[in-house]
Amino acid sequence: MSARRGVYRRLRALLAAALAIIAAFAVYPAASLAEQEKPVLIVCESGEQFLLEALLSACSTPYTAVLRADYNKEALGYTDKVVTTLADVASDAIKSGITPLCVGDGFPGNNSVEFETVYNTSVEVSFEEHTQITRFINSMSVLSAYNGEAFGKLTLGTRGDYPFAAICADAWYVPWFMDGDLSYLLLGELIHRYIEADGVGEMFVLIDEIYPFSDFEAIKEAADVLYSNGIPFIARIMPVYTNMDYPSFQRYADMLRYIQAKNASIVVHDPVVIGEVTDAELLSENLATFDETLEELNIFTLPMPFRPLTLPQATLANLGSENKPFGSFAFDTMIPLELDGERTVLEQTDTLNKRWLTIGSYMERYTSERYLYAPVEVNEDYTYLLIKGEAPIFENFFSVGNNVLLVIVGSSLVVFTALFFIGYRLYRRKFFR
Amino acid sequence: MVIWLFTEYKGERMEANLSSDAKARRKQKVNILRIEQRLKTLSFPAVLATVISIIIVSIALLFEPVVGLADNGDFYRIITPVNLYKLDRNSDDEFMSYASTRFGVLEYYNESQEGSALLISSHTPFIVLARALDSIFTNDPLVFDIRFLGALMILLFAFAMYLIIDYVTHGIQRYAALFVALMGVFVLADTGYTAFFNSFFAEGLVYISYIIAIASALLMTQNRYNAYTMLIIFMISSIILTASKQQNAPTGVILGLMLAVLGFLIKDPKTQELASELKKRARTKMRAIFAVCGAALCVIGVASYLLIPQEYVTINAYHAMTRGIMMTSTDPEEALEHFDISEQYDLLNKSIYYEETPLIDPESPKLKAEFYSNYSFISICTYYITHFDAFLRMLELSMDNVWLVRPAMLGNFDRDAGFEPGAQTTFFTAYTDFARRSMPRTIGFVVIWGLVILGCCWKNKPKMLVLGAAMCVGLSQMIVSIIGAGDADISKHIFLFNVTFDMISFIAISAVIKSLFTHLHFSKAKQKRVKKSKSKQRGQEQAPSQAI
Repeated sequence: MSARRGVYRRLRALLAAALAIIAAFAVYPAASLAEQEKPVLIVCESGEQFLLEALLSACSTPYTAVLRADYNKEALGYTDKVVTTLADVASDAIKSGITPLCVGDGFPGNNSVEFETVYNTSVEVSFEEHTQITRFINSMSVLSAYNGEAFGKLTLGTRGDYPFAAICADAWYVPWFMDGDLSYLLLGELIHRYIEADGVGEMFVLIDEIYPFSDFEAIKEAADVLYSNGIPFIARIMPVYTNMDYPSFQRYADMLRYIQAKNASIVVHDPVVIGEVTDAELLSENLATFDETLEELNIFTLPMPFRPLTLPQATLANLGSENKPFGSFAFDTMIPLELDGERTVLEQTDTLNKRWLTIGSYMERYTSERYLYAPVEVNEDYTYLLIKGEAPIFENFFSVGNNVLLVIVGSSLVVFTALFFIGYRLYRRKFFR
Repeated sequence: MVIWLFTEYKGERMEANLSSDAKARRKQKVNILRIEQRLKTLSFPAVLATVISIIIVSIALLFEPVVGLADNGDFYRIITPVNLYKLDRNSDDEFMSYASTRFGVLEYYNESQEGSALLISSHTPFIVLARALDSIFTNDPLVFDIRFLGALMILLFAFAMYLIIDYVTHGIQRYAALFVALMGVFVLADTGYTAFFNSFFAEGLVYISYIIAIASALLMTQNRYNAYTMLIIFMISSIILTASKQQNAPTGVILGLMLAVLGFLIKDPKTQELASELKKRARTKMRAIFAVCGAALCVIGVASYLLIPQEYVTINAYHAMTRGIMMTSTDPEEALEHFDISEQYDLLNKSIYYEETPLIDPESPKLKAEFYSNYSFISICTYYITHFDAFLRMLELSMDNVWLVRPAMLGNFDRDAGFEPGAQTTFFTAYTDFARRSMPRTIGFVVIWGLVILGCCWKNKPKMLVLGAAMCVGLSQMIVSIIGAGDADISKHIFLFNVTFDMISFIAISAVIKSLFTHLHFSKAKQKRVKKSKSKQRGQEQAPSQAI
């Protein structure tokens, strides 16, 4: 009896465990769905979407960008967050119960905010420990009154301080920002807060657009300098789809292996697209083939589902920090190195070092593997395949015919020449005796 | 018909003292005589061939199911400046599948901003004229029927047929001449060529103007017509030919040089009866005029080349290397080294400019600085001269596209005709189908063919010059296309080569038939004479014996 009870007890435990596991799988997908963010909807005029997309990508947030011409109110049903430069879209979002982030000066004043246009003024942007050198602006829109929380600060000449953004109950307002400026980064911070994202961003060094015909020596030299300064970096390489058996591709791979061993995180750049891609499946296959080929050559690429924000050195030079360590932003940023600019890589690295930047390693997000470099001999005797056309009809017949004709004509010429000389000598003997 | 209208007629001048009524009656009689005389000078085989061609081509192009050529994406460049647009521009099968016969006419302002890439072409005035005819004869000002353009082309084609058939049938026995005329219809009125008339491709006009130019030059060598009349016809057709497509720029230069030399070889029949001093002066004057016209044609050819939009220069420069030099080299790295370009660029080997996802944007500053700037047309010529094997390989590759007159992927019928997308006509296409299937596609065959034909007309220097120039025109298209743009789009550039081959082969076969029948005729005449003299001799021998 007790043995049977023991069996039943074990069976119940097993059943409970099974149910728990099933429940976990049942709950986890739901939790995943709940955790899975609905994409942020960006609605703006043509040309405005790129700056906003870059910020959302840096915040590791999926988004959908829609131009005004393609906007439909139904799109609001698939999102919880809307970033827009258009007043009517903001109004639709508010009516749908969504709190939009309104960017730009295209919005009218209301109970929550009032705007004012300011002309010919100097602007100093500041946010937490970050500041920027003063700029002179011809005209800009500012928040003259708001009913909510201020975000960031703009100091306008003698006019005083204004908030960079206002977080109000109905919507969030950002009347002005400028690309290549701390205000643009501030907008990124605001978006990071708006989408309720967690975490702090990292700063990376980037060598961008590495083509198979880039200057390999310059890239290797840059990798050596960065490695000797203990700076990991991202190397974004351009995808190759054809001729991957050529010696030139082997040399390209050898260079990539070298920089990989110098703490480079190899990431495949977005493909160059001319016009529209009509066969997305083919493109995916080509990119997969490229990845596989690199893997066979011991080059391991890392994914980059969300691209960090590019922070040019010129912008960085204008930023200041109250603390000695520069600090970081809420989102990921990449500082591109210029290999063919006026300043050498060494000078650029020195500048980065002096700014007390905390440079992260992108590779460590995905692997703790460390790679070594082993040179591989390139096959310089490679035989290139020539394109051959279709075999023409009657090719053999005419080839044989051509050869026969050539023999006949050639021998006739020889005989004729001989006869000519013989006849000439006879003629001379006969008439010039 | 135009020729005999302008041909000089030397009638007798009567210096009688007549009354005004009598003078008027006399003038009327002389005019009627002139017309009768001129009608008698018309070539019957040429008239017959012209009429048959008009009938055949009209059936194909003007009656249902209308035959034309579908748009491959190039139509907008020629129709946009003349305020036309495609009615099916929003359809999925807008390109390649159907040859539309109806096009919309822009009612309001033409907003096209793509002026820089639009083509300058002598085809445009013909389209404008066709539009005018359409507006006169139809009541629909918003729709253009392309058959009006086709009808205009048919009229010009009739003139071209008359000229070429008149040339080849001159001096041939009647039945042989009729046979040659029908052969000409079979070859030149093939729907493979005439389908271009009902489209906005310039090839239709190129075809007609090229035949007129070569036929008028050959007629000059026969010394039957006024040389200056033929010169005017030649100049007009050559200018139209050169200006119809920018790739025909070398054609203008070749025809111009040919014309300048031809002036030294032909004689004007008008001057044959003049005194020697006057003859000399007339000859010098003719040579000077021919030289000036030839120079003008060369200048037009060069200007046509220089007016090529920059967009096409980059496209061609890209292909010249990726689909030309690198593709035919056994070592692309060595080929790139020749031009001082990084060997790593051989990864662009065999790529085309129009790829959706290229390795690098063909318009990128990097390519402009490190790739395009390192070579030019001249340096590519030099490369091909010093690497003749690569050039031969390119020629062999090009030969795969010869004899393909009608682009295989373009449909011939309108959407409303009920045919499948991309359907092609088989009406009167026997010759081009035969040529495509059976002609050898090797460069050796072309060289032998050229040498044989030039060798056969060795005794007739003017004719040899004209045929040699025509061969140069045909080959120049292929060679210039290879040097300038590799094998990209070579099927479009080989059109003139096909026309040259077909036309010259037809002329050569006609000459063979002519000499064959002439030989037969003289053999029979000689046999008759020999028989007659023998019977006369026999008669004379018998007479003395009878007398005895």
